[in-house]
Amino acid sequence: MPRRFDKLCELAGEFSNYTSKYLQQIGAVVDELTTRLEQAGLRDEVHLWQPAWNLEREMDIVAHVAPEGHERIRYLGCYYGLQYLRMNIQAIEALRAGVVPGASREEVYREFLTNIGASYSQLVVTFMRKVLDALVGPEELPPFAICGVGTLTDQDDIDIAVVVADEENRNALNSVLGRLSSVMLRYATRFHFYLSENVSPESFATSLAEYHEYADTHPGDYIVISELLNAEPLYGDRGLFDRLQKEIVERYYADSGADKIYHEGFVRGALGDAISLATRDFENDRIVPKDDAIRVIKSLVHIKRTIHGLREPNVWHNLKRLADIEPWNAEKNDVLETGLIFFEILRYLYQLLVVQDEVIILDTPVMAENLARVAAAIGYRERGAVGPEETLLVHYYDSVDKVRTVADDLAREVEENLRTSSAFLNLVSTSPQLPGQLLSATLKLIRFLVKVAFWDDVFELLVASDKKLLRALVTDFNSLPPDSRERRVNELVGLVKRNAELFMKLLVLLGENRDEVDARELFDAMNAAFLREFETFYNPAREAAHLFAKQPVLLNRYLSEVDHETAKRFMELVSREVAIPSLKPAAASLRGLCKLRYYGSAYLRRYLQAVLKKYPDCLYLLDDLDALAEKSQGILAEAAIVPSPAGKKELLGDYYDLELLRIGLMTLNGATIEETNARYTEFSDDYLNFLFDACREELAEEYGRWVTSFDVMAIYAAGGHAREWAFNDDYDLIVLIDSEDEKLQELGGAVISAMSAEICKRGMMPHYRFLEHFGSYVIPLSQLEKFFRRENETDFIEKSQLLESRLVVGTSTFEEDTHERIIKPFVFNRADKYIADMKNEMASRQGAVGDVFLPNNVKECVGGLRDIVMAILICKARFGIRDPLTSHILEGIGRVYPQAGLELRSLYNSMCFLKNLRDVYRLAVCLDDNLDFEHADIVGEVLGFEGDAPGEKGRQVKEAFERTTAKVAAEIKSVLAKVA
Amino acid sequence: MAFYYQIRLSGGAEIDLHLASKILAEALAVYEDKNVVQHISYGPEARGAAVRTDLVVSDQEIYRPKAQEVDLLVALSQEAVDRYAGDVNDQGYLLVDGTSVRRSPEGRFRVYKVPFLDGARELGDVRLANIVVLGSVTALSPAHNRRAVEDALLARVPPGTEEIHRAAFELGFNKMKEML
Repeated sequence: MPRRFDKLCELAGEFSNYTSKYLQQIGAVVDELTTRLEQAGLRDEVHLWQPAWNLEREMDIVAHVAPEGHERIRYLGCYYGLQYLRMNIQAIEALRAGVVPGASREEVYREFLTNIGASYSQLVVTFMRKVLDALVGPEELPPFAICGVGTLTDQDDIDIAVVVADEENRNALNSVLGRLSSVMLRYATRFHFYLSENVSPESFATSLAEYHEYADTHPGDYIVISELLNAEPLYGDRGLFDRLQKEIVERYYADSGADKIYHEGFVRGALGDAISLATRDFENDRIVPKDDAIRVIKSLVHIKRTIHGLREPNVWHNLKRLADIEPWNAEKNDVLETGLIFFEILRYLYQLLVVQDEVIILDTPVMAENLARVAAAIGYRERGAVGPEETLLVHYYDSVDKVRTVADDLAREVEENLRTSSAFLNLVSTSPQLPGQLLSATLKLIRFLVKVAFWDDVFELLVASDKKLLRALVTDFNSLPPDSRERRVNELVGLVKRNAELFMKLLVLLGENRDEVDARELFDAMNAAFLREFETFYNPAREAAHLFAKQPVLLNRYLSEVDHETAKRFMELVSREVAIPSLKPAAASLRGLCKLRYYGSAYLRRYLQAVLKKYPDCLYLLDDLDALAEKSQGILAEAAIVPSPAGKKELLGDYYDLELLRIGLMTLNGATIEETNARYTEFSDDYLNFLFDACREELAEEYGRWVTSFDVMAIYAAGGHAREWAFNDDYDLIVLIDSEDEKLQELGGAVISAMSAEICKRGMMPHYRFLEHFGSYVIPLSQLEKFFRRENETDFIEKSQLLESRLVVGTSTFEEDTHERIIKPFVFNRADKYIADMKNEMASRQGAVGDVFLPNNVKECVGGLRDIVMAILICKARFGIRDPLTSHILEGIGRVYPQAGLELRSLYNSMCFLKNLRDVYRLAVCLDDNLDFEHADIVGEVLGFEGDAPGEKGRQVKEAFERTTAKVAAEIKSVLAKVA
Repeated sequence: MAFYYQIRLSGGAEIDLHLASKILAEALAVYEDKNVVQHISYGPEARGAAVRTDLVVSDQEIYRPKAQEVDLLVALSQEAVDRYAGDVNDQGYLLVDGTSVRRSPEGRFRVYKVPFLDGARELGDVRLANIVVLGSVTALSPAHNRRAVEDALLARVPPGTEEIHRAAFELGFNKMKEML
């Protein structure tokens, strides 16, 4: 006998560590059991080391030879363990023999699952019956029925439900069930009372009345309903089981004659779950067959069952039936069936050979080895350098993708079904008689179905036929007296805790249509209620992160609809820490979005909208500037390889929008002005260069020739772009050509015109210097020379443009030529005249400031940015500096004229402050140089000023602005006195 | 007098406390022949908020599956403390994670701050926090025998990972013993 036990241990050695539980029981009891059987002359009747011939009879014999009481359970447990291990050993052997090369794996898997499923459920059910027979004593038990409500091949747990007619004497039954549960845990597989945990948490057994109440209050609880739909009688009163079916389960079938709302609730709940699982991302370190695919398949099958009235719970059977009922879906059902077979066998084998867990961890070598054993057992072989587990994983991901594609199609079909059968359709067709009647009917439906996840068709219905239903509902609301309106809103608020996503969708729908359907008041009231209720979540940040992870676009749409104060409040709500690692990225991205919505001016939000419209995935990257940079570089790379110029231009526009948004975020996050300017100039120059290429390529076909810019044409940035300043509202450009070829000049003009059209789309106006003088975008160098030779009184303005210009498109040879022919002779060689003109201009500007310029204009006020720019130009002319960058210019002057070093450094710092203030104001308030300090708290916050009282930070910004401009004015005076 | 002991493990969904609870249940049922009932909270809570799993242990019959007057509560998050500390009886114990729980609750029960998450991180994998919890609960629970829990633990882990799981158990057990 010990030899047989040793042999069993050896054979079961490849199974998971969990097998030790059975071996321990067997080792402790089997000798005793054998002796008892021999003493009773029944040893030949019971198969201890082979598969049973007749489980029922053999277990009866085992129970019969055992002493009374607990020993009987031990004997039965030992016998169960023997049969369980033997069953699995044989099944694995058969599987290995079947999956030889050339055999149809799918057929072998199917047979394996069918056989093991039948054997295992028979073993478990027979054992449970015999244990119950042993446990039920003389106590009076109410009639009860035990139902299996899950898949009986799951080795990890067995889902069961226990039904009683009422709650009388339930404690005695609970006591028996508690003991049964302990026995199952100890000797077989643990029970999971999911239904009772939810429906009657204080009791294992659930009464029909409790099921009734639950069904009426939780119509979309698809997990509970799915388990009920799976119910099969295992033990006890068949009449009670039938009542459960008739009174509770039946209502979920479309053809049952019951109120269709139950069916609709289940379909919406299960469909929402299937869609959400089918669209979730894989995690890097694990696969979860149950969540990745099995639940998706089973949810869809359950939905179809209720639609077509298939009462038989077996999933394989239903897949076959569906093939007959829906021949148009035959291929799709095949994919589901093939997928289910693969995922179920993987799951079964993993639990048998590795560990009883739904999650298959992939990130350690040990786990890879474990998965390799599973892969080998189901027929995957090593191929060269590729291990069986790797081939299995490739197949796994491929199978999940196939199932999800089919699931998406089938889900759409179910959606269509809802569109034509939903109870919400009645709202459109009936004509309410009393004020508030339509609203009440709608609220009733929503309340009943509030927990379900799928509402897409209802939202479509609300806005269908020119928003007929939405308009009618809002009109109904507006027709109510104020107290009734408030009551209705408060009724709705209850939805927030139960389904925040649904409430937010409603808010967004109302917000986006509020003007059209006169819903401003309703939107404001609902939004206020929403925020109040959302604040009472234990951790609002976590709830919001959940929502964002699932529906990022929805959150963005919501934040687009709310006012500044709401955006601030929401930003505060989501600022709390979220501890769940998988939610942290979503929480961070949401914080980034809120920040942008709150701090961002309309100017910056314009770019946000443009980006999100085309690249909604960027919502996940708002807190990750590196990832945004990678994304925009990807777009730029794509633009380079797209063949059509039109496609290139579109992608370049996307690149520009995304980069501007990124640099804007960087600035709001506190980047230095040097960093902001450098990054801004980098992308803006890239944009211009690539745009020039795309436009000249586009026009080359039309003109039959190319603009060969590298020899004869150049584009210079002037103004802010030339100084490498960020966030300009216009694009000052100078386009020069060194050719008298009129055709080429025309072609050059056409290219620049095409570029202008694109630049305008980015929300910037291109300005072409000298256009007013020459009437053309493109200026020949020869004409420019003539222009300056004439020595116009105001040509210092044009000279300034050229002096501060920066080559963006073109060659250094062209630049040298421009320098020699224009800058040197007309600016540097006539510096005294230029400087005098500029000083006069500065003086007359400052004299006029009181009348003409606003004192709070960061650009034009005394000591403002324009004064700094003009002073720098004077210095450039004085010292013959061509470099466009302010920092370089000031360094250069400091080197050749150290007497002004201190003032220049201080001037540079002041300029940085004013420029940063201007940038932040543009990004956070509006695209205006006139600073409104009453709205500058937000600017102060970004610039690091402190103070809680409203207006305090703005006041500090104003003081700093005034201090700095006064200082700048004095410094310029001092510098110019020394230099000029 | 009948022995009746109620344990609740709670925390965020990122740590598999259900596994710890299964092991504690099996240690009692399989290896010690005690009556035990496990009550698991799935549903929305298991998708991120406070996950809860109850264990009711007795040498007699158990009528109610759900723990009520909890003798030993483990809380790995502040939310779990806030939600469930009120269920701990006056003679009970509350074990909270040393880093993620900042506010200790009011009550007559004894509170210990145990480095569950940090301990697991020290071992190189925060997912092992459930096994550190298992060790600490075993050290404190009068219902549990160390050997039985270790046997149940090893039966529940994948082959090849026994050592790291044993180390996590040991860590939790010793930390708790040091504090007592």
